[in-house]
Amino acid sequence: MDSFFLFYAISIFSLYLLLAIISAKELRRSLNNSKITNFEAIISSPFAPMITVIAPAYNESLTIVENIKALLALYYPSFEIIVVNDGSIDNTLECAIAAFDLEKVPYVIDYKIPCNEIIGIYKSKKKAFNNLTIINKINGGKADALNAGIDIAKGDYFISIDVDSIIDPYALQKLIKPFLEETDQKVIATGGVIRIANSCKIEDGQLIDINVPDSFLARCQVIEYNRTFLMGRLAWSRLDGLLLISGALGIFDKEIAIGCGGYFTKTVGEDMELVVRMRKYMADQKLKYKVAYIPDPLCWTEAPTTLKVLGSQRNRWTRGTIDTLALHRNVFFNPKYGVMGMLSYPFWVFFEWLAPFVEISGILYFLAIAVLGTPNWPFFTILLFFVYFFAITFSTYAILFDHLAYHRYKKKRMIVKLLLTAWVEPILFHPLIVYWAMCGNFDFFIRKKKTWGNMTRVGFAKKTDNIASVIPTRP
Amino acid sequence: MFFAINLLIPINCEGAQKNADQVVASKTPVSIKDFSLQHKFTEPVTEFTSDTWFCYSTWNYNDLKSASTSANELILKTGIKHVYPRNDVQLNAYEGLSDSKNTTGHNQKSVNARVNPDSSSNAAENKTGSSYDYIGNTLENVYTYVEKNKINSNIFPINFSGITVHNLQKELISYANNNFPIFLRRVFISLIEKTYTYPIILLFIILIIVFIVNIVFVLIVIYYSNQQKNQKERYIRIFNTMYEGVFRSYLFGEINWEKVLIKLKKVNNPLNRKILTNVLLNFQENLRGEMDNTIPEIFVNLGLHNDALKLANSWHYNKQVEGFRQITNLYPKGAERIIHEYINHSNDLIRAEAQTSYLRVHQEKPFDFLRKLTRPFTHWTQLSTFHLFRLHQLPVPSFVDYLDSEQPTVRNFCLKMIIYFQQLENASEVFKMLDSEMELTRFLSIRAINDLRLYQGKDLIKLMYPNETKKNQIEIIKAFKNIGNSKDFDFLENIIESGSVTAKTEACRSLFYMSREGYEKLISINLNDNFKIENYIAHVYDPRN
Repeated sequence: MDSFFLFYAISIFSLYLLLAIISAKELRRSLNNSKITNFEAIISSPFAPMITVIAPAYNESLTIVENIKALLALYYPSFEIIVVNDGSIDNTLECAIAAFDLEKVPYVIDYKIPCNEIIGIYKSKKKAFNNLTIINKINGGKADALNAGIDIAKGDYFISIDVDSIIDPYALQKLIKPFLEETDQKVIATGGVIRIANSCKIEDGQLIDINVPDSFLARCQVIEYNRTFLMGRLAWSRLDGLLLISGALGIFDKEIAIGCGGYFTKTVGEDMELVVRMRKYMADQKLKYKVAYIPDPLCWTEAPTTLKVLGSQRNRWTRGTIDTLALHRNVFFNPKYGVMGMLSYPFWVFFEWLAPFVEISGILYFLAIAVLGTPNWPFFTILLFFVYFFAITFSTYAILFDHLAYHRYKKKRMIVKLLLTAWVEPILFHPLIVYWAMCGNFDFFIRKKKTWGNMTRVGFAKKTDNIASVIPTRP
Repeated sequence: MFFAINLLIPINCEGAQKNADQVVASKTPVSIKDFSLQHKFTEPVTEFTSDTWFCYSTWNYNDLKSASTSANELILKTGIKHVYPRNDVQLNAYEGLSDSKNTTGHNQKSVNARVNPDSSSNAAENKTGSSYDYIGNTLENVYTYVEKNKINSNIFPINFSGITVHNLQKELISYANNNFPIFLRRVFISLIEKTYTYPIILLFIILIIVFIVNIVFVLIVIYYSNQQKNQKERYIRIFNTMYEGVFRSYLFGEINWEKVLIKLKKVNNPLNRKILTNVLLNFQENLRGEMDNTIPEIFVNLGLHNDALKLANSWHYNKQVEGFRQITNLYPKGAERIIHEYINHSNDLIRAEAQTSYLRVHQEKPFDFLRKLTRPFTHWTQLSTFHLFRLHQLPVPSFVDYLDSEQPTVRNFCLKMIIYFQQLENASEVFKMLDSEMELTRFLSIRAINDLRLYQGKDLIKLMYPNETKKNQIEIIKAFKNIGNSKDFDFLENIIESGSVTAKTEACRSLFYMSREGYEKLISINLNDNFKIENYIAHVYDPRN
């Protein structure tokens, strides 16, 4: 038993270390590339491919107008915005209609991907909002709303976003670039980095000033996101094993997405499920493909600041992960699916899904030894310190990567705040994550829970002291 | 694993002399528990220390003779060779120390014990016909032995059985004994022992130290890099403003060149030279006319072209790209010499930059590099070259000249250019592209027929329709909006009858906007009960759809 835990721990630490090293190299390469890239060519080009921005909205009446305005300010020559009002029970639609002078238009919908009934399509009478479309439909969940958006999208590519996220004005140019650079293989999806917007100054849907969150929970999530994006996803992208593109910001090839049936509506992890299915689709067709990743922070989202909401989010993420892994279990160690089958999928099974189980088992095992036998206290103490310092080192390097690459937090006290949080995070925050992950497993396997759960929406932050309690999509 | 050799060693001692059998002497502490287990030693053992030695003895014999007898018995019983009696050990409070040392073998406190260096009498008085031998009982003999046998003088074997005691361990334990409180001392010493027993613990400890060092290193880097970044940004801002002011004055004739050289500060500093180059690049981009020649002259006069050429020959691809950009914009003569070598480079970024640079450098035939391409012409590079082409208002070539390229990406680019620049004279070449194997090439050809109003191509695309992909079929239907006539009504009506929703919609749109007759035809189709296309007509009627 001891050997198993030791072997597991060594494996996971070694893999994380390897991913961190690969991420560092890839980040450096990416930064060098971005310094020499000239985006002016695409900004003014008549040949820039059309992109459809799809934003599902549910009960967003407080913020929908601001959010749409922010989307309209995206800096790209050829895009349309489709906001999908997914059966809101507040006056989300009415607010949008009033603000943008919308009217219902006759529209023939080609249901390439089945979705719940679309009640109406709304477009603006004003030419300034020519590229805005609102879909009003029967509630069906986020995946269903996205499918409805894909059905009427005109662009060759679509971006799925959370309507309450702040997208970098240059996001579309950066996200489309991988699609335009590759010739040997088809890029089917690209993801970007999601950042935490808590305590940042936001005006008219634009990020004015960046601050480290005041809330401890949000700060822990900043560190967590840094680790995930800058020391995990980058490496997986490099290894061609990226399984997840955040639902908050991801761009997809529309044709491929339609070809593999669009978003799966019976899961709460629709973002990961779609990427895995698209990859499988391409592998089954024996087509060369790539899932790319841009390490630039292109999207800012409000992180949960209460335990209840955060717990609900993590519970849902766990259920989404299990769902996807179960739905596509034929990928597991299947050489047909290349790196995805032989490396990244098993990694997700053993070190993402099962890690909380192993951790809890280890704790219980140790407690049993402590009560019933004589534990090797020196060894235990050393191991505990080892794990703790490893975690801190990892987090510190994540902060360093972020700082060197983007230098977003310019003031020293912001960095100090983050570093101090990194020291405390393994003790206070991580056990909560494990607990919620176990709850997610329980809800999935025992309670058979398939829904999103209750989501509390207060309103997206306009000022730094008005933080919204929202459920963002997983990073 | 410990090494020790039984030797007489000079140690300081205070207190009454006692008779004892010394069983182990070592430079570093010995675990008596392990030693006892190893040699099946059951007698109580006392440790006493000097400045350099840890000695372990059974003790409290009445006289030397008893000690000697006991020593022989021990040798026979345990197999330990080097046990010998001593009568010169002087210790403080033996009795008080004995019990506490039996299990751990470590003193509660260090006791200095002195041995008479000249203890040859010890050996002489041993009349048991010993089956043991000892190396010597003076320090000099010890050193001679060590030198002769080339033994690490810090490590002395017990029976030369190959047990080593490390100085570090000894020092750690010694430190703990001297400085730690009692409750911590045992844990600490136990930890040290465990560490030397289980090497993996040592590995973990080393890794922990590595992690701590890493964390400290990262903290230092973050602190200084933050400062450095802020300082650098400020520095660049200041000099940028200064250089811009100087060059602006010069370009608009307010000051002469000599004055410029006086006003430009720190031109030999590499960072400042970068700033100078960037300022000149900005000016080159934004100023036109007379400045087109003046700015490159400044660049050359300041010697910055040499920096740019160095960059262009760099091993690092990103620096090479930077170099290309500089020489293309500010030192075209230099660029002309070297750019053509890189238009088929294996590195995508270098290749792309070389291709866009070619455009700028060969302004009379900007797209001639398309003939020489052996690698794909990426969409991103197409956008970049087109952007520069428009920005610098270069003469538009006849893109049909490049349509015969082997690269499909080149052909596709040319079709786009033919459409954009409305090069109607290339119709026959465009029709040939309809037979291409590539879907995108055929798509662009159909679009060219549509956008250029190439009516002769209408029948060709109509014939293609049944065998085409869905995307191309939609494009064909769209084309009839502009090039269709009444002869095409049946074709479109068939699509309305049996096509997909998207195809029906586009067919309705084509009929609706084709002509008055087309609109009337659409209405008449709608009157047919089999069709019911009011929704489609309403859809296409709204220009926002």
